[in-house]
Amino acid sequence: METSRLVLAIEALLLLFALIAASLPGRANRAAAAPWLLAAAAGVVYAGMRYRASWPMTPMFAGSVLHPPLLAVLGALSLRGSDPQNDPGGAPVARRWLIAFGLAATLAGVFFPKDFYLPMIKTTSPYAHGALLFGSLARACLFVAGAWGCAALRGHDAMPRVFRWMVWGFGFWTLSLFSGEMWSYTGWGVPMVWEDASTLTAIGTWLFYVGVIHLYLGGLSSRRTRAAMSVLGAVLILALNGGPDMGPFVDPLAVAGGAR
Amino acid sequence: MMLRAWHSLRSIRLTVALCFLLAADLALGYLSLRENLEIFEPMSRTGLLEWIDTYGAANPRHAAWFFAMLALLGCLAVNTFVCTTDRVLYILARGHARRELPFRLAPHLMHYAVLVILAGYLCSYLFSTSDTGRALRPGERFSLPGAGVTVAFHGFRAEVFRGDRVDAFDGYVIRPNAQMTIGDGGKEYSAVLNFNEPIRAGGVGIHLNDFQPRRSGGGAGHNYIRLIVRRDPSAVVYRLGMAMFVLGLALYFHGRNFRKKEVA
Amino acid sequence: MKNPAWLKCLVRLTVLTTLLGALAACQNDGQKPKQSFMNIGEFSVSRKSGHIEVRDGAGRRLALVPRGAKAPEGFGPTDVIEVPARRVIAYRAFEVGILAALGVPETLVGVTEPKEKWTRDDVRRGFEEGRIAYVGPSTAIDFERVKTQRPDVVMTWDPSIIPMMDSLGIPVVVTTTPIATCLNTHMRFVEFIAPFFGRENEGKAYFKKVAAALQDIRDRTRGLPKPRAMWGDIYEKRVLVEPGNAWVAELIGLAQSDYLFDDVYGASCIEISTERFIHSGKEADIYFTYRTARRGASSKAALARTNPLIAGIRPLGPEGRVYAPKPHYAQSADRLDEILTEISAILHPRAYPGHRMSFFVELPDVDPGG
Repeated sequence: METSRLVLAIEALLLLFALIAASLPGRANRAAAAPWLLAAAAGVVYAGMRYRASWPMTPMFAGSVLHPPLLAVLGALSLRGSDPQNDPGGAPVARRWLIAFGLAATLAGVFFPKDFYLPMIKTTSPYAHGALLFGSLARACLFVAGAWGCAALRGHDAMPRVFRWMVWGFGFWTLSLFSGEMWSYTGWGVPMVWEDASTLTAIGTWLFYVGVIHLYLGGLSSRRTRAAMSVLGAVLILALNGGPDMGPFVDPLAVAGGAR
Repeated sequence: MMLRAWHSLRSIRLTVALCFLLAADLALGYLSLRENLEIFEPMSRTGLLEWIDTYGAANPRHAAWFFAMLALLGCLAVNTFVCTTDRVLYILARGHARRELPFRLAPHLMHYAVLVILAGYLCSYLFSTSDTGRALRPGERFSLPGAGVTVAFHGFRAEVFRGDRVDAFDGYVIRPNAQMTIGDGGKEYSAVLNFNEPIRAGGVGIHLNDFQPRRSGGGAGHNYIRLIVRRDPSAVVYRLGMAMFVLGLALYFHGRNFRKKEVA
Repeated sequence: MKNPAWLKCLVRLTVLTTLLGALAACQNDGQKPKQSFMNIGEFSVSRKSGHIEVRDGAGRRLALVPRGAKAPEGFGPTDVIEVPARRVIAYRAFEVGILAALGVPETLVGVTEPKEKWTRDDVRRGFEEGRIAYVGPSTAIDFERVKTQRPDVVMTWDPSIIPMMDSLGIPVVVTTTPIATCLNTHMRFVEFIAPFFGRENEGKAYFKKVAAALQDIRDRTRGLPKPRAMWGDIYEKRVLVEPGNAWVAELIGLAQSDYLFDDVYGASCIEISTERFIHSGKEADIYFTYRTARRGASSKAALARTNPLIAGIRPLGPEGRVYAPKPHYAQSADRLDEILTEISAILHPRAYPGHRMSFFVELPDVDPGG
């Protein structure tokens, strides 16, 4: 457990370097690519360690800390075809925010880990794994939408990307909810297990995005408002869905000491 | 009058407002549920109406978000139905090419799917019955008189986790494989019961809720399975709704409609 | 404003939702909403015409009917209990204490611990008089012995005995729930048991007494510096702790203290990782162990020998304090007010000058003479 936390701390540090580099002016911000890539690799290692420590069960409260490597991959995909240094579509801004959202989630996992619950046999269900994996994919897509939303708020022409990623995120979020529902049905025979209060925030977030997508499709508000909503969505995910995944404060330096 | 009501209910602004209000209500609900699980947990057993009459009425402060959610979901269901039906009639009237039609109707399939899911959930909480107090030791059986089903438990053929990869799981059961015999309408057959793998017989679902021993020689001498026996005819309704939604989503992603609708 | 219709719509709906919520909240707030229904955590008591319906910890419906009255419809033969119950078998010492609190200790006719394990005078006397029988260990009770005792009801945490009890025609009530009981439920549990004996007034009096003790704790500890406490133990590499939703955790929080597993949620004695236990242990001032002296908690050194993994936690060092329950702690539910006060006195010794400990013992650094 302590080793995996150390890997997560390394991921956070690399993301911090990437964010600093991405904020540098001119061509210097190209230096962000290497630490971002390494952070994604560290994230994959961390996710692997968490899964290894629980397989065939599902790691508990891992939704918020498993998605940053996915966010890096999907974020990089979203940046394809644009010049990260100078792009009218706002790629530099989006990249900064992609890294920042990943960093926020990773820091929450470093300082407020919730990895102390033992896995439960009931989570061996493929539906439980599906809920976690689709949920992670959804978060990653919606953070990508949020990052491009930040670019749109700065006046860049990024709205098509915002909408496309939001719809993908919404789709994965739906699949995550349905997987969770099927797990609830096969495990307990009920449509909803009330024991996990975070189900409510997951449904609440889904409804929020239903509202935002209808704002887009109905053309009900200004571009700025729609962009702001996509950013607000990312913040809501960090708060409403990341909050339940957070444990008490832990000093990562003490963990590093323990790992030695 | 009817027409005016229909027109005011089909507002997409209303949809957006309801969705945001529901999201806010559920965020408040999270705070309430986290601290008061014992109030809401019995709903799966009692059903919605009895729950409102008992736990809901006895704890109005903690259940206010839930009542608000019911009201908002009711409004959203009506709004979705009116809005979608209006739009579907319009699309059908325009006589689109047959190939194009599924993609144009995809979002509306999702809308109707939401209604089917909500209706399924409502029926489940209104009409299902649940028995959470059943337990069996090896060699014991019980019958479900209404369903004409007998359930017998013979013992475990457990699969055990080996190694120290998972904290504190070495030697613990990972898959109990409870050996059962089910009597259903004069026929008897063997079945294996596990977590998340219910047995269906005579219209009821038999789910494994708990078992002992969790490890060989453990459980302080206990040897039993605890069951949830649930009759929920509407489960098929909300699963159908989910299938409809996924189909609608797939059509939406693959349809030409998607690219066209991208917002500039 | 660009979208006045939108805004109007939103405002109307907000008002509507608030009104609905307020209506629901005000409908019955401030009074016991429906005198006919009361929930005590997941347990419930519902007064119907001619009988009382209770839901036990396993969610089973049971009907309590006056002796000789007709059984209500919809209940199986063993789901109907004639009250007041005159003969009871209790699995947990907690229920035995509750029987005493209700003034019906003489109804106890069977327990799952032998006479020598009991510290209660009323139970030992019951054994001597031949009224109370040891019906075997809770994990493997002797059903023949149970039958001989002719109980009106068996109070148990083990639902696996229900089919066998059904075949013997003996009603069973499950007295525990999968999730740990909170402080309120722990205090009010007596109100769930009271209708089985027609002792509702005694139940209310007991609850009032405990609630008064709780108020006294609040008053005495208000504004005091917060000690940090933990409650749990390690057994064969498995760590068990009291979660934040358990009554002891809530009590510690209420007594102006920090409970270090406050964020943990789940069943009583929930399992967590060893790292978390040790991490919290390094911050703790006070440690409550589950073990009694007989099970290795005779001194800090003895505890460290039994569990080398916890040797490094702060309470086991010179700066911390460790408390172990005395054998009669678990058997003293009728003295819950005193137990709550004692836990508060342990957390804040200065607020309770001259307090003499009855239920816990502070462990010395080493065993006397060791």
